[in-house]
Amino acid sequence: MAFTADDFEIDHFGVILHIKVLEMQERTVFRIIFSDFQDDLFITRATLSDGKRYWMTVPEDPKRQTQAIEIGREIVAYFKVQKNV
Amino acid sequence: MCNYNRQKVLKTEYVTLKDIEKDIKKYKLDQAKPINNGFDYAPIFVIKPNYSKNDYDIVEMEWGYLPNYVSDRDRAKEFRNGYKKPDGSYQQGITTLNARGEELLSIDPKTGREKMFRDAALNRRCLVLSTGFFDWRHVYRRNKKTGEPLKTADKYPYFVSLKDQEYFFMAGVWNPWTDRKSGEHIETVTIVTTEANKLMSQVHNAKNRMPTILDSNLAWEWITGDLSEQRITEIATTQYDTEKMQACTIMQDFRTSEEPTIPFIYPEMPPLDQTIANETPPAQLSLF
Repeated sequence: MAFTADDFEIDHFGVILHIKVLEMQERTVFRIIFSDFQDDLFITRATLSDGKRYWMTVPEDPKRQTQAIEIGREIVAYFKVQKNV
Repeated sequence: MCNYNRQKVLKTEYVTLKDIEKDIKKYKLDQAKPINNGFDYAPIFVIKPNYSKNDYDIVEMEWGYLPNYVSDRDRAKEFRNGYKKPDGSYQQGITTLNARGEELLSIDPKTGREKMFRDAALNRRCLVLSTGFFDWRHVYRRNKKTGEPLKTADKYPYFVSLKDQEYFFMAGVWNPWTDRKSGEHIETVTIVTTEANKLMSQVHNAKNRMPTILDSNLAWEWITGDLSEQRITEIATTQYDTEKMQACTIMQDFRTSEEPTIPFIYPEMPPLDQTIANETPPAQLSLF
């Protein structure tokens, strides 16, 4: 999936997430800025050793991995909707 | 095979993710607030070598070195700000935002006590990333009747930066510190200073000091080299070339400005001496 959008916002369980799209090391990295004072989160899609794609927090933060996966799914859903608009 | 976030990834993927981590830290640096006021004791960006000294990490450290004998946050506040002792006398606070390069490794010949920064200078050298720094020039107006200089100086703020270089390195030494009450663990850092060069002796004329700015070769040697005490002191007292620096006056209320580095001209302000010793023709100081 090629992400080319500018900043956008999504509603994540009632919390507005402002999302910045960054390019780093030829990868798309998302900076998630929360409206409820949680620390910013940086996520990207990594490839596991078995070839599966997996949302990762960068730097590593296993405590926020679940959150990264949830928000990653919503980002994918956002782009699917945008594609069909 | 490596692990990242407890997931198995190939080494190439692991390296890419680690490189992205570094890019994110650089990105955060770009986004950081324009001014770090030392007396806020806020985090600043610091480059420190990894364990094997073949690579580096960009980390945030609390600006204001805390020695390990400071036991907890309450004592840290007293250490920095001073406090009233039980006998009613006042213990002055100790400012550790800066460390004099000439004295980093000093040992008191009478007591044999080492300077606070000695162990860090020998074992934990780092670089503080900066885009520029602020200093005050003290100007003493003259009494209109007597012609004598007034006792109180007018202070004019300057923004000092390097020509053609967005970021630069200042020598630092750091210390890991743990609050023994709360368990909070942080890293604290001090910026090494040296005698002012010709430009900085005019800008920071009250103290005649400047940060020890290192070019990329010296910066790498500072954090990764297995250095003798003599070499540590040599690098710590490096005086960056005047002709590679620039300084401009800025607004008095720059601390609260969103763009604190915008030049501001004070008509009454005597100009800086722009001539560089042994240089012809004299370099023109940029006023942006």
